[in-house]
Amino acid sequence: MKALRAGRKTWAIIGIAFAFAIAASLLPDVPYQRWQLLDGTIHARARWIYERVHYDPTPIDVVFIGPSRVGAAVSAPRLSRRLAEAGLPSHVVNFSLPETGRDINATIFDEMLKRKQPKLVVIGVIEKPSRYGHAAFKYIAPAGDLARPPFFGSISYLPDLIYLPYRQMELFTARFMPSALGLSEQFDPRKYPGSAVETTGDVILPDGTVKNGTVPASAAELARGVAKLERGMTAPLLGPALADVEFGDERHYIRHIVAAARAHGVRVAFLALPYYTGPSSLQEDAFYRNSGPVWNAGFLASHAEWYGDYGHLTSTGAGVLTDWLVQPVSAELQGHP
Amino acid sequence: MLFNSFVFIFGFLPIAFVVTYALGRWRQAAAKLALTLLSLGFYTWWRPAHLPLLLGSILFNYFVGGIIQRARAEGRGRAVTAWVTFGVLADVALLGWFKYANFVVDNVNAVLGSHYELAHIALPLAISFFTFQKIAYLIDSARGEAKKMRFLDFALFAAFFPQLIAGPIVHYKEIVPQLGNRLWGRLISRNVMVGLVIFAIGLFKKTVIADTLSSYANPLFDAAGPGYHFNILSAWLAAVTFTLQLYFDFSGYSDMAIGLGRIFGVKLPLNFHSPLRAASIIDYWRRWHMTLQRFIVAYIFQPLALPLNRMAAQRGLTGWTAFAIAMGIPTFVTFVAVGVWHGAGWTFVTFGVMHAVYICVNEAWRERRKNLRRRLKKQKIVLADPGVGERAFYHILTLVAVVYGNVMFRAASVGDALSLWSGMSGLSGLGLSAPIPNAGWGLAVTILLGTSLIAFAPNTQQIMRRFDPAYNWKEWRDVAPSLLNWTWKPNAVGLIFAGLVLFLGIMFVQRGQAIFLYFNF
Repeated sequence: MKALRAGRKTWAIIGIAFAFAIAASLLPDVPYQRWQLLDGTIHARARWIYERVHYDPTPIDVVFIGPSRVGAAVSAPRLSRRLAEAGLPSHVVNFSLPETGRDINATIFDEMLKRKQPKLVVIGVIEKPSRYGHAAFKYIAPAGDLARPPFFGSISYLPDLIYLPYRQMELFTARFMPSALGLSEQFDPRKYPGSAVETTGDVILPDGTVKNGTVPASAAELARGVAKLERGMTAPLLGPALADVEFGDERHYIRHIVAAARAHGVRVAFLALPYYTGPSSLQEDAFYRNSGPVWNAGFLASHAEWYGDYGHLTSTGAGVLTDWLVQPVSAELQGHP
Repeated sequence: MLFNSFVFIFGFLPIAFVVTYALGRWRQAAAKLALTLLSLGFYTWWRPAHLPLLLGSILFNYFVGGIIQRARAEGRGRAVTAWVTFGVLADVALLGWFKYANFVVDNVNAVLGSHYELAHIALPLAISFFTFQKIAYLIDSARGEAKKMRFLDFALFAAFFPQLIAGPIVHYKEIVPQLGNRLWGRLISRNVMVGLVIFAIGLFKKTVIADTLSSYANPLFDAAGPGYHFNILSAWLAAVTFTLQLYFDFSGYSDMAIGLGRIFGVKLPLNFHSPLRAASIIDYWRRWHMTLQRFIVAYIFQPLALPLNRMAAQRGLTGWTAFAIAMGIPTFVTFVAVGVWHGAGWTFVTFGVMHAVYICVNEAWRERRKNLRRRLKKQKIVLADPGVGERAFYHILTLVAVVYGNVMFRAASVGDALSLWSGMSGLSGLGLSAPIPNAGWGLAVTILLGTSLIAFAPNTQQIMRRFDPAYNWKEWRDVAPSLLNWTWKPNAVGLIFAGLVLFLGIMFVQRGQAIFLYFNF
């Protein structure tokens, strides 16, 4: 009777499953469809970002990237107008996405540099950087970026990597049956929101409800939100020597963005946006200053009337902040060769 | 913790496997203790607040079961009866409080116009399953089928994580001897290989097929409500997609449970045996959620039917009167209990009543066929077996009855179910539009795949028949053979098949970890 060798065969099954995963990860995709995977989520702006970069010939002079605080605080159309009034007509875009995680900002910046030549990139930063990558990174990052470990100790690497085979199968299928997966093959100019999208003010959530972005939050709401945010904050755990591991997502991808910007002659600046009553100091202040000026909007923190919730400005607050940005942005643009 | 989650597949399962078998090499008792604690951790992951309830249930039933076993050994029949009654009532009261108290108060208020108030009681995970398992243990103790055992064995029997959350509902005699015999800890590689393949098939059924179907069924059922009219296509799509989803979801879960049990050296009993291929509703219930059915039959139907049969015979009742008393009453009580077991709501009561009616009609039909056969036999005529057309009709009739019943099972209210039935019957229009986003080919392919697998393919245990895949496989190995006869072998084709279904099952977890439908019960 032939020996079963069940142990070896168990490993063979696991190995074959692994081989299928590798093969699936190598399936080609259409990048435009990749950026549509976030449709119907709070990150749905990703599709517009891709369309703005690849299908809209309007140049980009100033780009803002960062978390939702940047989205709620910087009105790109208003800043364009103010810069034009100041004699510096510029095309400004706000490519921020909700939630923290610097990896996705790097992905957006890399994608933009494929087709556009901005003069200035402004990176939104907050008091404490995230220890994790962005939740949406695994959806839109190129396969190679997901497959390569970005830095030693990346907590998000494996959870993102395991999504890759499924994503590539879905995108590969979408090449042949795009409508079955709700993804478009072709850019549709009729659905394109335009060159300068307003990200401040009201926010339309995935379920269709509108989060009012004009009315300031009540004192109780602000207090509740701030308390919740502060409860979730922890001091650095590993010490300065291992900051590149603990805050690897922030540091690795900031370095990446800065290096790419320098390679393309793009100036870099940082915009620090505090939460209501939050500190003006930044944990990574020295790290940021190594790469560019830090514009600290700490003056916002004491103005409850400008906050729609604990961390996001109302349209009025955004107007104040945007106008405040005209001077430093102008200075950087004037300094651009 | 869900079986179809990365934290389970890549975290809990490898840890439990390594810890259990590493300790098992040293001492079997240490492995049992570790597996028991890990199982309790598995339960706690979902909602830690309910762990004391599970622990209390284990301790209480071990204690009461021990008393019953001692009383029985000493021949104290009245003490056995008293303790088993007490124990079962306590278990039922626990279940009743958590599962039905809100429902009862709401209905009392509705009927009497009263305003009794009861805070919302959160349903503890798996309470219906672990309570039934304990009730069976107490009754088995009273019947002499469960023997005294060490607490560790009982705790592992009661908490063993593969079957803890949604069954199969196991008996003492099925599990405890396996934990004690030498098989546990031997044939590890074979058990792991077979268990892994069964688990992979179950995971595939759940994540690839059932979750896909749920994305079509849910929007349709969610649309039901006042003023919404289903046309015939959308109503049938809702009913069919949910029926397929329910089957693949729960049978997939059961496969995973059986596979996981096997990985840890324990064979669990079957829970499904191609029920949607049944040609009668009686046969359907023999093959759908089999461990619940045998519990209900053994502990509710038979204790009711036997005395009622005796009473009907003693009173000389015949014909429909005897049928109503001996068959109708116990069937209705049993199936209303089945319905209510699934949840506190009028939809579940109605679901139970529907199936009671189906069963009674089926039994009456069988009785009629039997009488006809007998009459013809006297005339030396043999009643021919049903032909292909007649058999096909029975299959279709059974499926249609099941599908209508499942609409009631899934609907949020009886009104919603009636609205769907109206659509299915063509009373709300014959339109062919369906309000499902991105339907079309995806929907068609999924339904075609699901129905083809059900109609033609071997079920999981038939695929794994070479490896004695379940505790009671021998009882079922010749039942309902499939048209496509394929069995798994550990050759190149078999290994690629297993690797592929494991890969796809894990990959489709990414779409979101939908809970199992039976986690709600």
